[in-house]
Amino acid sequence: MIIKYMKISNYNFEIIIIDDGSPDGTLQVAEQLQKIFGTEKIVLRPRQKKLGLGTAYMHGLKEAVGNFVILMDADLSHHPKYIPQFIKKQQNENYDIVTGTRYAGNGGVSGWDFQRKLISCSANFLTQFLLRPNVSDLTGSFRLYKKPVLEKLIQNCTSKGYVFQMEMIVRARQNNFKIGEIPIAFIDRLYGESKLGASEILQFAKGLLYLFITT
Amino acid sequence: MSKLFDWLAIICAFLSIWLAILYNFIEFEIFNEYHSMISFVPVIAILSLGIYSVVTILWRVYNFNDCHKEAFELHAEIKEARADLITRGFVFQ
Repeated sequence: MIIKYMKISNYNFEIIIIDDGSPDGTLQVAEQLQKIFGTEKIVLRPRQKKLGLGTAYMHGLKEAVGNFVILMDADLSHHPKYIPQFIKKQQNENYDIVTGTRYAGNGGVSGWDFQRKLISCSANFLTQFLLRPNVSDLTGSFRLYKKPVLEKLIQNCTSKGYVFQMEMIVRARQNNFKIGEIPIAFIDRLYGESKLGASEILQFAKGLLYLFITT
Repeated sequence: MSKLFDWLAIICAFLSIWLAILYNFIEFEIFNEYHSMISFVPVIAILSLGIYSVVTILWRVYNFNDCHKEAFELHAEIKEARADLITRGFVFQ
C-alpha cells in the first residue's frame, strides 16, 4: 500500500523495516516483500531482541539515504494515503517536522470506546495545559522529519515507549523547529492487542512530570 | 527556564497579590466592600479551573471523530493489497 501511494505521487522512496524479533513472523513477511519489490525499495534491519523505540529509530536512520524520514507503525493503524499529504505540507511551508494529529480537523480514531477516549482526551488536555506545546497530538507516532532534525532529536531524547514521541515533539518546540500538522484517522490495531492499562498511565504521568521539569 | 518555573512564577505572583489585598497592603474602597469574598478567591479559582477542565475534556470526547468510514476503506484496501500480493507470488501463512 505504501508503494501504491508513493508510485501514484511519483516520489523517490525506500522502506526501512525494523523488527525486534517479534514472534508473529513479521520478518518472514518482510523478506517475502523484499523478494517481490527488490532490495532497493525494501530494506530490512531486524534486531535480535526488543531494545526500545529510540534505538530502533537510530538503527533505521543509519541506513536511510534520503533527506526526509517518515516514521510510521507497520500494523496499518497509520494509513499510507496520508504520506503524500505529509510531503505536500512539508514542501509548502518548509516544515522541519510534519506530524499526524487525531485531535484536529478531520482527524480521529476508530475502535475506541468511551473510556479509552476519555483517558486519551484527559491525558492530552493535561499535557496541553501544562506544557503548552502548540501541537495538538503529542503521542502520535506518524510523522515526517527532515533527516538531520530527526538525528538531532533522537540524540536528545531519553524516554521510552510513547513518552518518547511526546519528548521528541516537545524538544522540537524547544529547539524552535517548524512543525506542521495533518489530521489523520488512526485505525486502532486491526492486528494484535492494543494496550492501555495502569502501567501505561503511570508511564505517561512520569513522562509528563519529567518533561514538565526539564523543558 | 522550565515549565515548572513558569508555573511557580505565575502561582507566586497570584498569591502575593492576593495576600497583599487580603492583609490590606493594597487599599481600595472596593476591596473593603468585598473582603469576605476576596478571601475565597483561590478556592473559586481552583473550582472554576476544575469545571473548565471537565467541560473541555467532555466536549472533546464528544467531538472525537469515530472514523468508521476510514476503517471500512482500510479493510477494503487491505483486501485489494492481499489479492495484489498473491498475484505477485506472495504466500500468506
